[in-house]
Amino acid sequence: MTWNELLAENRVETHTTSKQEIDDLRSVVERNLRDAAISQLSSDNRFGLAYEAALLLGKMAVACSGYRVKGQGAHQTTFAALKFALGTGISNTATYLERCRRKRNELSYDMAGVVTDTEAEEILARAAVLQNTVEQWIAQNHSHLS
Amino acid sequence: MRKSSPIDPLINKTTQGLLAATVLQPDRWWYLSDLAKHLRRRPSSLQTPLFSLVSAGILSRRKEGNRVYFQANLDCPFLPELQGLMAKTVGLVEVLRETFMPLKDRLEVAFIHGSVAKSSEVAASDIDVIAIGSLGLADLSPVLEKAEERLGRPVNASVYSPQEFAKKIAAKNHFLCAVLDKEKLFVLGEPNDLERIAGRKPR
Repeated sequence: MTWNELLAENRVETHTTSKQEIDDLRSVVERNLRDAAISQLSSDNRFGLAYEAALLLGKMAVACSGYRVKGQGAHQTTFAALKFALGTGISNTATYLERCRRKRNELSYDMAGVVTDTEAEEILARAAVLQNTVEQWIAQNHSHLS
Repeated sequence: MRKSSPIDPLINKTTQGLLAATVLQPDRWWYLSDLAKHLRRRPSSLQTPLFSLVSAGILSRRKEGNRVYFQANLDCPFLPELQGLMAKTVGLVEVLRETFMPLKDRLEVAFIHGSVAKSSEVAASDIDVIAIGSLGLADLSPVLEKAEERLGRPVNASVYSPQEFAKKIAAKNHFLCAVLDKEKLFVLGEPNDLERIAGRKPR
């Protein structure tokens, strides 16, 4: 799949971002990662916060690439689009985040105690790595937004 | 073999077992007594269904001295469809075991729980797996994706470190204690491994 195919399927639209928009997203990512590290919170909530941070990092990458996700399945599209923005080296992370999306749906709607401590720690660590990857990519490819 | 599956109304248990063993390992020639041992049946009880499957062109038969061997007939025109049907029904555990195998050094135990393990599933039920080991959901994600492709059903996994699992059992976590006492289908590891991790005396 390519950006053009996502455009044709109405899953993204072109969008010109700004330093302000990216900085706003940055501050939410920072806040969520900081809160997700609070060990007194439940694993479900820590997972949810780190997941939101990863999603917003995806949104930043999509915005810097000149697009905005739209329509149903926005989270799924955002993770799929990570590969077009950051390259195929991010494929495993995208597959993992897609799996996290499904888990997060369960915890939002079905029941408490869905997420294990192991999974909450893992997504927090991986979201922090993704933050570094995205920021480095922005610095190298879109320095005016850095 | 599992107690019941959604294809019970279509194919009898013995034939299901024979088909799952042969078509899911199409390169293997099965000696009759190995098949009987694998299916926990008497060899004599397999003679008639094996004859029918060979006559129908679904299995091949080869004789070496006194020994008779059986294999999936690789020229059977509907072998791929049979493989898909078996993989998605009675061969669930075998398919998961095969896809999880690359992670076996990092997985102490992996098992199916929930409706599929209880045999109260419908054809499209999600397959719920608990994996315990020194790995994360990120390591499992590509493996789960492959399993879903082969099975045509969602496979959901919860990942625990052995320490977290033991800690939650000690704290009498309601969900995990119920899982321990209910039906399970082991994909990797054995019931005794799970009891050991849980800090319970192996039965």
